[in-house]
Amino acid sequence: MSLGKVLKLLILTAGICFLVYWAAASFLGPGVKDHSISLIGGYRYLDSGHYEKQIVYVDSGRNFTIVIDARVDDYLVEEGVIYVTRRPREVYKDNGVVKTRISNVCEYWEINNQSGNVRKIEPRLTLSCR
Amino acid sequence: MGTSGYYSKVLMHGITGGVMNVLSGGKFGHGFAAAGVTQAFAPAIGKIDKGSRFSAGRVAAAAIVGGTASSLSGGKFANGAITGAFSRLFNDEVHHQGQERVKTNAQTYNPAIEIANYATKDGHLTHSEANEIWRANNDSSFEVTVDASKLTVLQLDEFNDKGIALGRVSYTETGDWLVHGSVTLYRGNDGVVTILPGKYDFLPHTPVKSFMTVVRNIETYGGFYVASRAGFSVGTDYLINYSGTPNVTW
Repeated sequence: MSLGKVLKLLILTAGICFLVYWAAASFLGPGVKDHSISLIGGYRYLDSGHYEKQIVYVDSGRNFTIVIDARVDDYLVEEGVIYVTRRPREVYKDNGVVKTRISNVCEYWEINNQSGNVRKIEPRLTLSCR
Repeated sequence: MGTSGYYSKVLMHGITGGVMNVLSGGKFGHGFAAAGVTQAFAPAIGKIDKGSRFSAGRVAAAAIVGGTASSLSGGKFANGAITGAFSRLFNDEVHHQGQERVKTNAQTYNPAIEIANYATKDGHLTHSEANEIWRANNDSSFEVTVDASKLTVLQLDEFNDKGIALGRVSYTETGDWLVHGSVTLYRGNDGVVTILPGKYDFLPHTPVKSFMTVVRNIETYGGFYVASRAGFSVGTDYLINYSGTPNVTW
């Protein structure tokens, strides 16, 4: 195969890849990155962007319940327990528009997957707030 | 750009045009002349329709220059015209838009204000409008307020004692979903339901703790790639506030 043909093939392949990616990417926006990650049992980490990061529980019927409200900063799953840090999100009104801000307080929580108990705990070295 | 930068750019464009011409069955010299000369005239062509972000006049001028150069070197006018026009379309016209923003940024004027005012006149922010604002924005504290009543939100759980519930903009409204995605609903003491603010950004999820996070990050990069026009117009994130009540469904 001549160098010209190899070059032509390479450019054609790159062109097709570029067009496919461009076409696919036209249907992508910040909304697609909002997602949830399964932690343990029905517990999931839900990230809806900005401050809206929560630990939620999803039952077999796909019903959602907020377990730890925003903003969850980090989490760790250890021996059936989910350890969570969060800075509480506060809601306030500014000129009639609802806005949010984050508290300076870093809270530590644990969720027991077996019992379903949720409680505030003392700070753990392995986790921190952002 | 310095003199050496100008000449190397002309040379690089010439070589690219030459190679492309060979690949399409023509001669290297004809493509080299068309693309190189078009690039050499780029500063002069850039003065046409000065101030406009995109100009068909500039593209037409590039086609004439490319065609003439190709013709003078013994090639076909049409081939050179196409090379010149495409070179302008996919290179200089893209750069032209970026240069304008740098200029306005230096004057601390935020072009996103005008675009956002126009785009949100009807209270609704389309995907392309949201990207346009992001590209133009130069202020990280910039905020846009949209009318939540233009959105249909699927509520995922009951409101808790703090008036918070989870929601997601309907998949059927694809453009809206791309802009707003999952949302948090808030019911105030007055019983009015609205959506808590969200950020229009393309930040990847960190730390990466699952395979799905990797997938989402790749998708997010795809969105960034398009919004930033392949990295030529990287914008600044902004906050979206919501006024009014969304159409909530279960």
